[in-house]
Amino acid sequence: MELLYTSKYYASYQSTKDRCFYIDFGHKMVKVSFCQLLSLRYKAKQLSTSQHLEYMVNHSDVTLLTFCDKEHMIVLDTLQVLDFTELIQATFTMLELNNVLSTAI
Amino acid sequence: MENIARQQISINLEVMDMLNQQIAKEQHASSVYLAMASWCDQKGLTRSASFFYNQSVEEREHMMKIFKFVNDSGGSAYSPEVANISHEYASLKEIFQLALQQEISVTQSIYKIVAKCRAVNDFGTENFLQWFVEEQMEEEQSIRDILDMIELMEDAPLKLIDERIPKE
Repeated sequence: MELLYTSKYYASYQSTKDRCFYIDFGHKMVKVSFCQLLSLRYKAKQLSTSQHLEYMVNHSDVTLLTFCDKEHMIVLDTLQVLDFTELIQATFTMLELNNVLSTAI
Repeated sequence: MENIARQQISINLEVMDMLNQQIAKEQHASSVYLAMASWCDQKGLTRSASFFYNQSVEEREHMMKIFKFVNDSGGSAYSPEVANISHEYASLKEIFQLALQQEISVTQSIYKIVAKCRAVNDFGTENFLQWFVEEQMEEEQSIRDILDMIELMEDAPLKLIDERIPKE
């Protein structure tokens, strides 16, 4: 497994052998397909909108994140939402960088 | 490191995001046309109502075309939410003016995606969007022609103007 990115709380990996990705949430490692990773990217964008963050800060400091067709569910506080968003953004940046490098070579 | 992501998706991710925004735009346009059709129908302007019902279906077909393309390319298309559809209009002329504005806005949005495709070398999506570029030119022109006709017949009874709205 190749490490893609490590944020403060989480980490992402690519497994060439399994042809999938892994997200380490600290208490569990979750296997995701590329499609599911895209879905997480979409959710991260939704969670990190100023509207949603403002709601979290003013009303409740936790939010539920379900993914992989509701197979997994985690609870995130505001800092974890920001950290998770950073992880997903950086993971896709690393994938894009890998794409640029492999095209150049 | 093997490029697994590229094996799964053939379009650029930023372009995919813009296509998802376009999906929402097309669906919004479809709903706006439906509201316009309803206004015309309630006023007995049957040809105008029919024109906007058809426009609504067309916009939805555009939305579906992009939706399918995103998924077929390995991306993720998201079903859009539609909100803030106005059902109040001052006149038939205003409706067509708003329709033209909406088409221009959709055209500009398509152009932005084409420009992005060129910037990131996503030639597949650019090629797919060429159909939309042509389609938007036609859409704008057909509404512009109707506005010209309304301008010429401004003093005529509304029913007479309605009878001149082209059947699509």
